[in-house]
Amino acid sequence: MRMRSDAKLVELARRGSRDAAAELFSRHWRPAWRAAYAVTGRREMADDVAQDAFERAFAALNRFDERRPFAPWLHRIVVNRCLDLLRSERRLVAAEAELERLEAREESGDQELLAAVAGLSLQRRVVVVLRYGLGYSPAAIASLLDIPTGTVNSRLARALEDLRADHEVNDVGRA
Amino acid sequence: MSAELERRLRRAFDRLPEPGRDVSARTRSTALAAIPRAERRRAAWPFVLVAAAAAVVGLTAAALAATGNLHVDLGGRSSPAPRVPTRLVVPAGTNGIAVVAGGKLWLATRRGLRIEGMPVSTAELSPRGLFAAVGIGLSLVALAPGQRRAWTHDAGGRIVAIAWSPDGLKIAYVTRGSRGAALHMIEGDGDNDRLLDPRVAAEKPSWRADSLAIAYVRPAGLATVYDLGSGRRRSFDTRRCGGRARAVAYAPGRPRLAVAGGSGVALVERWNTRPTCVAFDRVLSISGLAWAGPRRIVTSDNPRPGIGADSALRWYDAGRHGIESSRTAFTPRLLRTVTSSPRSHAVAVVIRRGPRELDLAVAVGSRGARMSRLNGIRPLLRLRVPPAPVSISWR
Repeated sequence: MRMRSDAKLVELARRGSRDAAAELFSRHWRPAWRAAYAVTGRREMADDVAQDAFERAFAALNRFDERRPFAPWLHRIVVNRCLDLLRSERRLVAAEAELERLEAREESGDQELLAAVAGLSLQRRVVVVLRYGLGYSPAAIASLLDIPTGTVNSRLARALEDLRADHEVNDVGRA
Repeated sequence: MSAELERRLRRAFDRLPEPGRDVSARTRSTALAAIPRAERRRAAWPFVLVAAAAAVVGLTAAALAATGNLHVDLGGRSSPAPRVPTRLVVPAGTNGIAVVAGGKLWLATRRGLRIEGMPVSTAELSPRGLFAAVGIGLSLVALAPGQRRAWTHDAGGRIVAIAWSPDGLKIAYVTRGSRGAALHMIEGDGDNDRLLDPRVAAEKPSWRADSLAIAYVRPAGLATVYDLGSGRRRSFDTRRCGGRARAVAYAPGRPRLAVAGGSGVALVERWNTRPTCVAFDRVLSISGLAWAGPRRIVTSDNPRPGIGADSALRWYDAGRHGIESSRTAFTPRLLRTVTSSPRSHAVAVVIRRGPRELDLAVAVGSRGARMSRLNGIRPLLRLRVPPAPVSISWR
């Protein structure tokens, strides 16, 4: 059976198809939640942000421009909710500590890297998650965040520098 | 090195944890419910046709039955109705009732608001039961009859408790974030949100009858009153009455404040006089506090784990000379919370029946033998939910 496009699902959901809305949810819930988790570094906060973002997105389906792709629109809502919440509650320091003890799986290298990502400034962390967690191109990230592509590239470059420096410090610590 | 780092980043993100089943199911439900109703109605016309056809068939059958040409049996001899209703019904003489258990809301009001199993963090009915304020995700949402969203307010944190002022014009609510809980107040139309106290305990606040002051619990277990007129905050140390304050409740119609500790109740009458109190054995733990009229307090309590004792509903007379125990009704089942009916003629309790089974029930009033078994309970709804905080709002 041919998979229906997001645009088709949005159209059907607008007309009241619960199945289409459910399929749209199933398709996008996991990546959206994981993006929220990667940015916030906290499971409970990711739950709240992702739930809130989905509610807002589905409540605003009538205003969604169906000529545009659905995923970036949703991810924009997710990221903006993360930014709002983190800025208002200043959880940046806590996030790093949380990530260290969260259930990132067996490889300690991954945990260290995620903890280092959690220690990045909020602006850099968001572009890293969008680029390497969700696979967006710098141009797409620029469009999603309403910033110039050059800014995205410079934030990515600086984030990678920070992560590389952090990695080297960790290696020195082990030596 | 950069390519290697990028590869490692992608791998690390691939191995991020998965969302929990509970939050996935909860979000799916609330997201689908959030799709605008007007759009959904468009697709409902086939069902309207089917319903109309069914109505025509039904009327025809009724007509034939009336002429004796068709025998109609509506199942009068089928198995008896279940003892516990599966649908929440508004108790007689009241405007509505809402219960939140296991992160879900069941609600019924006389004005036509009905909700069954909606995922929320907490809920409170407006004084006349016309609206309901609920916590959904990070938002405070006011629901009107027909499940219409009257307004939504971005609360910036998970809402753990809501209290609607007696005049219906204000809502106090508590949000919980990484820095702890905070007390806010917003007007009944969703405007003018104010932070009243950035550090409070995650317990339900209580409004004074004149709607000009809010009682709540601060993190150190101090009962505190915020006066909206003066902006002044006063705290009361009631720890000698059963330990740190856990719950507060203003009396209906009077400026008298009941404060429940872990194992006792204090009555605060005036700022400058020492609270009177009843404290009982520390092996008991209070789970609910409410006023059953202007002069009577009711609590629910349970034995601490490992203690072989019964749970109890206790009524106290709060007279001129302080507070004293008046009646106790025991039950072997755990009591999760208690609240009083609007006219104080009965109490509603949530009773634990099993690890994932609760009953919302209406219990007898404060009259009866001084010590007795808890009887005369009328179940309102059986809930099969995971263990989680429970609250009732009855108007």
